[in-house]
Amino acid sequence: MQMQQNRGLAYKISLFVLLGTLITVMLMVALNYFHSKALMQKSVLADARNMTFATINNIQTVLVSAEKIPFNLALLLEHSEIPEDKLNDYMQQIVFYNPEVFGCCVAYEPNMFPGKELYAPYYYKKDGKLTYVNLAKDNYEYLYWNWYQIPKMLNKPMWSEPYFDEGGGDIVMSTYSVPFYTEMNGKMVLKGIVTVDISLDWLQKIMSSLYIGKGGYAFLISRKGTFVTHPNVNLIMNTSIFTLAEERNDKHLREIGKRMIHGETGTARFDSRINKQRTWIIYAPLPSNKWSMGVVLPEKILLGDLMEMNRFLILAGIIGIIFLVLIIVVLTRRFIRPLNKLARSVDYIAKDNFDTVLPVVHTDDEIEILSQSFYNMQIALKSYIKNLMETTAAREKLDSEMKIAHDIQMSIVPRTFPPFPDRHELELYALLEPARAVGGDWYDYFFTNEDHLCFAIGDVSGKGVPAAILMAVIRTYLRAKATSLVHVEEIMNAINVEASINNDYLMFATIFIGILNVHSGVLYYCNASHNPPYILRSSGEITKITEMHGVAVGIFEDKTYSSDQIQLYPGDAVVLYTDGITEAMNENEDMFGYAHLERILKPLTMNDAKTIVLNVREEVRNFTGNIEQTDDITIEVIRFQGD
Amino acid sequence: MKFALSLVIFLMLGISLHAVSPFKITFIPQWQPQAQFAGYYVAKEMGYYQKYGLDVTILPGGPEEPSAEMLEKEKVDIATMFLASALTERAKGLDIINIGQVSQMSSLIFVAKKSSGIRSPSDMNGKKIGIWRSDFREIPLAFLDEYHIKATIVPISWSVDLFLEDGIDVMAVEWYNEYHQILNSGFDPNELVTFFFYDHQLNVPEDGIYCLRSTYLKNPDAYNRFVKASFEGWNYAFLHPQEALNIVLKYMQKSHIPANLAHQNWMLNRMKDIIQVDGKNNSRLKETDFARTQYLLLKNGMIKSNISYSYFVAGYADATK
Repeated sequence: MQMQQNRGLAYKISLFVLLGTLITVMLMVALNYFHSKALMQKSVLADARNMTFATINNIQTVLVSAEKIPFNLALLLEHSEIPEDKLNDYMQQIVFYNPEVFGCCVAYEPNMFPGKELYAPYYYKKDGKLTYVNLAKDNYEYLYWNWYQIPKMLNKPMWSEPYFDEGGGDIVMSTYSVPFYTEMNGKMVLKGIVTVDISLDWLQKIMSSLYIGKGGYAFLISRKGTFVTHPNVNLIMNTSIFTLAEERNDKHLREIGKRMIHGETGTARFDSRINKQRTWIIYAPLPSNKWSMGVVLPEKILLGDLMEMNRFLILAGIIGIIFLVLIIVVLTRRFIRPLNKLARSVDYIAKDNFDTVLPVVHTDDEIEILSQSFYNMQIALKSYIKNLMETTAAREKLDSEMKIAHDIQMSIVPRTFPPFPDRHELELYALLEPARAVGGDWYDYFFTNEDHLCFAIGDVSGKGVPAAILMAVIRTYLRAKATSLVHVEEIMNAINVEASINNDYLMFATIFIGILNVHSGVLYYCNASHNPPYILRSSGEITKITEMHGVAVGIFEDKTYSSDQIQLYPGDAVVLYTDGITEAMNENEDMFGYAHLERILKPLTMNDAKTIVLNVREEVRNFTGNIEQTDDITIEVIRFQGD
Repeated sequence: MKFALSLVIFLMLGISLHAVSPFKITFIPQWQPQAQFAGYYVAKEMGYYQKYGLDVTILPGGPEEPSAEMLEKEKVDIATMFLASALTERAKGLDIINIGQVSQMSSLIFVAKKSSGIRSPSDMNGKKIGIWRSDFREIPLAFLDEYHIKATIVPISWSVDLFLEDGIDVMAVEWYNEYHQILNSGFDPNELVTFFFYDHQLNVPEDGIYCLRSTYLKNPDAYNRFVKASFEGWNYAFLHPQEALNIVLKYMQKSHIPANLAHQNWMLNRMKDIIQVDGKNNSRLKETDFARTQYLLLKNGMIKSNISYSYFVAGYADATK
């Protein structure tokens, strides 16, 4: 159980630290990703742009040098009349000495070459051999070919659209055409077109040698958008960027293609329709022939390093977290070990081993404080337990004394009912319920002779053993004097004298004593400040015996008491009680009171003594409810029945 | 008895007997292999010609092999030609007859860039207009005549490059072919202005199937079957365009012609528009179309005398049986 709790603490701390660290690492990775992404993209795109421009420069250099060949020849033809054999020599040398030149043609406008209506000598390489053909053999055909007609109509040198070489091979060619003119009647008139056919084999090589990264590639498109180079050779010459866009139904690609053929430089993002990849494209024109170069970069390439960096960060984060967790587990266990020992010791103490030695802790932290607290608690606990044991012993002793006193009290008052089963002249019932083990109330009754019943009720001031003893003394005197003295006031006087002598504790007692002639019904009585008894007449009338014959006994030794007498008739009952009845309190601290008592007694006049006693007691209990009884409760009822 | 049984079998196997001794026909379309002729390639590849007892050889056409010349020199039995070209040739004395009309409407367009400022036919005055220098030039010229346009006619071979490079302002193009090439060179339809001949009282249908009268008369039934099988080929091509395009691409590759699917697909779709004008195949040259074409040609002096419809399409009635 303890071990599990300890593990739980280590586990909880580890978990929270782990979560916190994890969130921190994730935030770092995310922040790094988003922050670096833009930078990275910028830098990779800038690199790709630089590469594009560098490549374009390379290509441009070659194209410009190729342009010079027909340009120089055209210049020559414009400024001098060159005979046929010389022209053919020049052309042969051009094709022979320039490896990139595949063919060379000088095509004349009709009747522009002396002596010939049409003339278009063409030298080209065929199977490695220099071959000649006069393109004019097919009549006017050459005049309408693009390489002739377009520069003618536009009056400017032109690179043709790319085409596959005549040999049916797969070498991409382009022809550079330069118009040359002559002056006729003061006007410059087109004389013909000089062309060189340039193999673009090297273009493909340059483009495919570019390192762009996995999935990236470079391509060239012509002025019409036709692919001149492309990693997918099937597209070359066959397809334009626009037909590709149409096949893929990709309007964005078409838009990019338009910008490219219009000679724009730019960067655009487009999402490939083929592999659903986010892709970037960088494009820029070739100045010479207005073709356009494109570099395609899947975003994966752009973010390749970033991903790697992120992976590294995540890995470092994970290793860090594992390390952290290990440290936390080890440290927490170490911190908890003394706590563990302490817990075991405290647990041992809890099993009544108060002398258990607590482990010595010198951790200089809360655990040491806790240990000290436990030590203090142990000492306090030991002292408390010792006190408790002493108090308990004393209490037990007292309790036993009280028990004895109670026994004395309860043995003093007669408790046999009916008390005189053979005396039909009267009926009697009494009840004493001490508030504590021993109270100060008492009652008594006995026949002093054949005709007279003596009965009394009293309340000794104070409670407990002294009260019980005084009560016992008074009761003894009552019994002693009642048999020897006839008059009730004499009995009271005697009791008073005895109770007053040696009354060091200044105790006193209220007493009511009555002597009833069980034949005549005459009742002599003396009341020493006791609660006035009631007479329940058989007629239903209730009378309170209010006469007082002196103060409580035990106060003035020389005080003498008087007495009175009252006639009872058969059926009349005398009800005696102590202030435990009339002063009983309910939870509102209201007293039960005389009026309440009289109200209960009224319907009970015809009942027997026991019923009256129990009813009164029950009513008092109902009145007080759950309130603890604070005073002794005593009630005694004597019914005179006559002969 | 044996003879009678043989006769019954002979009659039942009537069609398959053609396969036993197929009738040889050599055919040339007026241009290089492309979806413009998908019907014939499909008919050949799907065995429709064979089914009709024909052994058809399809030669690759092109500028070097003009249909009229090939027919005249009897290098082929059947060729496709534009109606106007065929009538012109007929007027010159080449005794050819129309045995089937494929195109039922003109697909010719004059196209100009919006940037040239041309908005109506009259805006073409004084502009450079590119028109094919050899074949197919009659109707575009008739268009210019119709609107009294005085312009510099620049004869061009077959490419649209001169137009793209701004060497000419206007160019006659076929809806199914060059127009799409222009679109696929980076021009959007909204950057172009088009004048459909169809909308300018110059609705002259184009591709038709022709042969020499003398050739036809040798075996009219076989030539009629050729037309029938060819149209079945067209039908199949329109119903299964992907398959048809694959067949066309195969023929293009055989002739080393750069091909791309998007363009051939466009062409096949336009051919469907041109051929199935009423939503169904019609292999007949309508007399009204014939009359309109002849009128235009006469008016512009491209032909000098009337040709009778029934004579020009002689055998046509048999062919549709």
